[in-house]
This record gives sequence, structure tokens and C-alpha cells, in this order.
Amino acid sequence: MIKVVFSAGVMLALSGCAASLGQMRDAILNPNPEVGMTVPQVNRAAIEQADLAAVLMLSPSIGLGTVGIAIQMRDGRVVYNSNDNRGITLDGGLIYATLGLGTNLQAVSTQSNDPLVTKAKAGTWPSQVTRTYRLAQRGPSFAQVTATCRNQVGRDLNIDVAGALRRVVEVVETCETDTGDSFHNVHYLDAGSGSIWRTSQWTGPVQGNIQVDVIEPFEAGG
Amino acid sequence: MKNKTQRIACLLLLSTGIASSLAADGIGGLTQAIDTPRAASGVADDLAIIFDFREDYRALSFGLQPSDRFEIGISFPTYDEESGTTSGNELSLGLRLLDEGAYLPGLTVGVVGFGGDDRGSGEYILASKTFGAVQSSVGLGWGRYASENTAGRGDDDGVIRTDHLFQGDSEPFANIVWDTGTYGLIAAAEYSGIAGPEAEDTFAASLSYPILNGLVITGLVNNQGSAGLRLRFDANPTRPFVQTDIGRGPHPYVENSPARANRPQPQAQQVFDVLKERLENDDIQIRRFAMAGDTIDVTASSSQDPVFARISGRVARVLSAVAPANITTFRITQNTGAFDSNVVVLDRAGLDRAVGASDAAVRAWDATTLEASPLNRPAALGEREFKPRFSYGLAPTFKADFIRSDRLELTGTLNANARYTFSPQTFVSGTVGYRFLNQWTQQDPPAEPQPRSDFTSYTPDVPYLQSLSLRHRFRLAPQLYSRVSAGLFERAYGGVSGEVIWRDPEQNFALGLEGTYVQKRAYEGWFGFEDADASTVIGSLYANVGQNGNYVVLDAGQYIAGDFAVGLTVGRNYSNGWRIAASTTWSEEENSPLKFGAEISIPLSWTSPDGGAATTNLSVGGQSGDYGSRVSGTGLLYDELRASDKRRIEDGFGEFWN
Repeated sequence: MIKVVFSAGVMLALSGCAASLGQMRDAILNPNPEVGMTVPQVNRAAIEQADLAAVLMLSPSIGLGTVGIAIQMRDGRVVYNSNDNRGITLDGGLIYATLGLGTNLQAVSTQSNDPLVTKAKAGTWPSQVTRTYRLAQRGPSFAQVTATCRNQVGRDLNIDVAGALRRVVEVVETCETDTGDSFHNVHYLDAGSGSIWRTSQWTGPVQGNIQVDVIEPFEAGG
Repeated sequence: MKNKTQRIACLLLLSTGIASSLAADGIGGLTQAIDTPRAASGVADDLAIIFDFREDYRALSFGLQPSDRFEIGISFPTYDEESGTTSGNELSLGLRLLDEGAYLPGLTVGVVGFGGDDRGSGEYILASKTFGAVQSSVGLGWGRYASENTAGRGDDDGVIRTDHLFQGDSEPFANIVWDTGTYGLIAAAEYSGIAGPEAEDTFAASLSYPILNGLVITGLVNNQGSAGLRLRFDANPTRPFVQTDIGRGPHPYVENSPARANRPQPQAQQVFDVLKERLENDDIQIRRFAMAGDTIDVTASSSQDPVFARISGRVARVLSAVAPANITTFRITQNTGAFDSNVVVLDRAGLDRAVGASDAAVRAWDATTLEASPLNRPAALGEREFKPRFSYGLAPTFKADFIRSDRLELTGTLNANARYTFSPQTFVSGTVGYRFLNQWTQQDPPAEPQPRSDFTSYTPDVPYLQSLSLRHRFRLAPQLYSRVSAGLFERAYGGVSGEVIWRDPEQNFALGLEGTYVQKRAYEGWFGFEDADASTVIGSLYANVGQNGNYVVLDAGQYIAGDFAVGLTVGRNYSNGWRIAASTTWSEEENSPLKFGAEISIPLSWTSPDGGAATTNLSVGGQSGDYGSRVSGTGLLYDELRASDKRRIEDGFGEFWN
């Protein structure tokens, strides 16, 4: 009899706790949800009329798409912010920081001739680029992940960027981190100037790649 | 219905069975194959909760990993033998001495059951090598890993010895663990040289299946006639490194430029209105706002966000955009409920230099100082007169209770809580409980009331008054926090209690002293008392040590039985609100065994209708037996103030700009 009571107690306790423990872990480990992404409609005409620099930001890891407007320039980098304060900071075409797009990228430091920053044309890129990604961890010091990326020039093609057709060159970066992980960045550079029209860049081990479409580029003094 | 502090404790611990024979059941929370150890291959902050169930053996174990190489296991086994049931309380330690190389194996050494007096201790050293999806280990074991009967090994009348370690007979063991790659199934097989009732050597096999993410069930069997189930829950509070998506990004930070001084400057009410409106979207409430001279003083809190550094950062972001140009300092006060504890003082110019930098959080921390909140502050915007309120709720509680002094049982209790709050500092609260799972059988009261071991003399099967007490908290000085409590604190005791804690926000330690006089509560009825009293005087040192929220609590003084005892708690606070701690208590009484306890506190929004800052607490062990036990339910202040520790705030500063 004792065993029966005992077993019932175990089952009751475990049945209640099993689901709770799963929720516990999910709450902490934040697995990437397999969710669909809603891409917002971009009112290009309104953006152009208001003479705003704007980007479309897509975060596949949380299924989020949102439009950011350039609101600040800090140390040569442009800060884009959406209505709900999600945003990115772009250093040229390099995603320097993200906020509210799943998890946050605090900063990226890179070499002085990083072609994403200098807007170098495809084919003129250095053979490899080393970037250090900074992510929040316990304490004030950020965790650092250093990645070395080699690039390969791909196709010439036309792409639709928020309703505008852009003639671009595809560049794919294959990167390896100092922790042994690997990832790919994909960039679509303006065939003439080398500036970025669309880019998908790795922004951290949890957030993964963020895609940025440049709806209207930021022009200093513009 | 207001139910602001539902705390559900799920603990798994059981009883009963038939004759036992296998000595080396499990390894006390350390990394294991089936019943033999394998390489300590986890990473820092890994946490495991393991429940073993077999016919003749059950154990609840906690596995904690303070560093990549070092793991600690705390286990509460119950063994069924022909002579009856015995329970243990064991500490186990594992250390990875060498990492596995391309050709060389890894090397791990461990001590299991240290301080245990039922199965004795066991030691092992093993070499391990991974081949693709298979990890293999070969080792040598002493004590419980070499002999069937090692009870009392390492224990001499309650005094723990160490001269037995890695001494005496030894036996080899070997195991392989194969990750099949199919449906998450993991198969294991092992050999142990230990003899059992059926064979001279022991062979065992197991198959594990992940039921949920992090929760694995294992079925196991051996050639000694033993079979069982094991449930294992794994988590690591530090993953991911960065915050989860909380729905919105923070407001943009705007540096204070000289040009700004030439524009019209907002008045205090305007700043307050904008601040309040913007932060409401971030679920941050502003309880007080004052703007005077070059300083803005804000009291901010969030029911969702346990990281005060992030709350401070979000307040600073909004203030940076709306504060007048002449404001150079943002003071953000942390309120714990009863107290305004810290003031996080942010230098605006320092934040201007920090924002957007690659070391932005370090710079923000450099721009921060901590102060104790003043005792009295002038009237300010946003302050509202406190309205007394009544709240109540129901909360089921599952926990491991010491029904007898030496035996843990799984219990389920339904608690009806009610509280009337007169002011932020003062409330009266009561709890009526009903044990609906695993009632005890009422025993005749002892001739003399005992501190704890007479628990089963209390009336079962009826709702009982668990507690009914008044608590008032106040500050004697900016750094001196105090409390007085009176009433029925717990099922066994009622009386009066007072406490004082000194803490300086800039220091990494605090000192506390609690004095309590109690009368033993009646075995029958709700309000009566037995003819027995006790007084305790316990001094406490609360220290944040090392990095990453590590802390130590050292308690010493006179405990309930009049004995002098020392309690030691070692734990780690995580910036996301988790807390994991292990404790032990030593009493001067010679026949008092050394006790171990464990506590896990997890912030979970599902435990509270009010959101994510509430915690679920799991605890086991610690307060047991007649010696080294203190009165619970008096309302120790540090439980409220720990969130204000300097290291806790610093630990969260990586999230300041998030």
C-alpha cells in the first residue's frame, strides 16, 4: 500500500514538475523559435519624400522585421531606430551593434581596411578580414568572439530592395571563430560604388544573422 | 485575486522498498554513466537535478559546477535494507585534472559520499577518451566502489576523517556512453568489479531518452537483480550570454551637447511626465522624481526585470534625451519593497563617453558610484500616499520535509495566504496549511518538547495555522536596516524576533544580528503553547566574494536547542535572477551529524501572475534535526536586501545598455 501511495506521489509530483522544468529551461536557454517572419510593407515614397535614411531590418531568429530610420551619427557610425526602439548601428555596411532584434550585439571592432566599412568594390577586398564581436556577459566586460572571414565574389544580378531595383554584386564571406564555430555573411554591393544595398551578417551565437536592406542610404550632411 | 508571491517548490524524494544489496548506487550528483563515474565534461555553471528511483534505493541529487573543471554533488539518498530504511546526506566532489587530448585521455578524480555515514565514502580516478559519439572511461574505485559493505567509512562518531581516502581495497570499473543520434537516445553499458548478491562482478546497461528539452529519463538494469529509473534535469543559468528578446529595444541615448544648453529647457514636471510615459512601455515604474540643481533623483523599479543595472540604463537613456543640459548627475534609487537601499549615481558626462564604445559597459560602470539612500528625502513628484491593502492567495507547495529527524519525505501542502499591508514597512500575514500529500502519523508527544524531532506529534489531517505574525522593517541609519517581528513564525514556534543588518553599498559584505525568543507551539489546536521556550542569538556575515555574484553567508551563535552552531552557505547569484546555493551546519553537540543543504531559486514568470521577477524556490536539507536549527519565518532582512549587493549590480552591468 505504501508503495502505491508512494508511486502515486511520484507520478503526481513528476507530472506536475516535468512540464514546469521544461518551461524553466526554455525560459533560460532561449532556443531559436521556428517561427515565420512578417516583413513590413515599406512606404518608399513616404521615406523619399521625407528625405529620411532608412533600413529594413530582418531578424530570422525571432521572426521579426522592422524599419529603422537614421536618428544619430556617433563616431562615424549611423544609428537606425524603429518605432519600438529596435535598431542597428551601421559602420559603413558593417553591422556594428543591434538592439531589440532578439539578443543584442554590443559592438564590433575590425581592421582599418575592412571593406564593409570602407565600402570597397567587390574584387578589391583583402583576402581575409578579422572582426571581434562583443556580447554582454556577466559583469561589465563584454564577452568577445573573434572571427576571421574569407570572401568570394559571386554573381552580378538585379535585386529588389524595398521596391527599388538595384544592380549588385554578390560577395559571400565564410568565417571561422576562435571558438571553432563557422558562419557565412552574404553581401550585395552596388556594382558601381561598392556600397551595401543588402547584407546578411552574423551578429552573435544566439541571434545569428541579421539581414539589412538599405532603403535609402545615409548621406553625411544630407 | 492578488497573489504576488506564489512560490511553488517541486522536490522529489521518496520511500519504501525491499532488501538492498548494491553499494554503489549512483554517484551523488557527479557526472556518471550508470552507477560508475565518467569524465567531468560539463562547463561552468552547469546545474543538474537528478532523481533516482529503484526498488531499494531512491535519491535526490543536485549537481553544481562552479568551474569548468570542478563539480560538486549534494545527494539525499534513502536506502531500504532488511533492517529498515536509512537516509543519508552526502557531499561529493569531482575534479577534471587533465583535458582529453588528440591522443591522450582525460583524467578525472572524485570523492563521493564525503561525510556520509550510511554507505560510506568512495573515491575514484578515471581516464576517459571520446571516439566520435562514444565516450569511454576506465578507472579504479575505492570504498563503496570496491566493497559491498563500507558503512561508516570516513565517519568516526560524527567526526569526518580523511585518512581513508584512496585507501584500502580497490576495484576496477569501465563504462561506455553512446549518443546514438536517433531520437536523442543515449545508450550506456558499464562494468564494475564490485560484488553483489547475484554475481562477483556487476554489469549494467541503460537507455536514456529526452522527454523535454533538458529533461532526460533513463531506464537502467544490472545483473544483480536491480532495475530502476532516473530523471535528470539539466540547465545552465548563464546561457545565453545575452538577454532574451523582451519585446522592445531601449530608448536611444542622446549625448549632452553644448548646443543643447541654448535651447529652451524643460521643467521638472515635463521631464517627469515624459520619463514616466516612455518607461511605462518598458515596464519600469517611476515612484519618485526630483530635479534640483544639477541632479535628477529617480526611484525606479520593474516587476519584470530582475537586472537593476538594465533598469538603471533604460532610465538613463530616457533622461539623456529629456533632462535639461545643466543636469550632470542621474541618481537612481533602488527600492526593495520596505527599503530604499542603494542609490546608483551615474555621471552623465561619463555615460556620454561610454555610449556606443566597444567597452561601453565598463565605461558606464566607471561612471557609476553607489550610495546609501538618505533616511529622509524632501517631497517629490510621483510620490503617492500609500494605501493599506489586503491581499490573499492560494499556493500549493511540494517539498521534501523531515517528517522524522533523519528521513526526508515528499510532501504536498496547500497554503492559503493572507496579508494586510499597513505601509511599505509593516504588514501582518498569516498562512493556513493543509497537508494533502503524505500526511504523517501523529505520535504521542514526547515527555519534553523537542526542537524539531517531535514534528509528528503535531495534529495531522486538519488545516493548521502555519503562521500568523506582524513584521515591521525600518532603518535606524542610512546603512543600518532593522526588523521586529512578533507572532507565530512557523508550525513549531511563536514569539518575538529582532534583527539589525549593517551594510554599506560600496562594500562587498554586510553584518547581521538576529535575536529571537520563542515558545514551543501546542501540538493540538492553532494558538496554544507548550511549556518550553528557546532563545536564539545568531550573528551573520554576508560576503560577496570573487566574481560573478558568488557569495558566502556565515552564521554563528546560539541555536534553538541552546547549542552553539556554525552555518556556512556558499552560493552564486546570476544576473538573470537565478540563485544556487549549498549549505552546511555544524553543531557543538557531538551526536549531531554534519548537515548539507541545497537551494535553487529560479525567476519564472509562470509562478506569478505579476510577471518575471518572482522566483520559484527549490530547497532541501539544511534545517533538520534538533541541533544547528534556527527559527524560520521571522523574515530575515538579507533575503530582501541581497538584490542590492554591489556585486549583484556590477554583475548585471553588461546589460546596462540593453
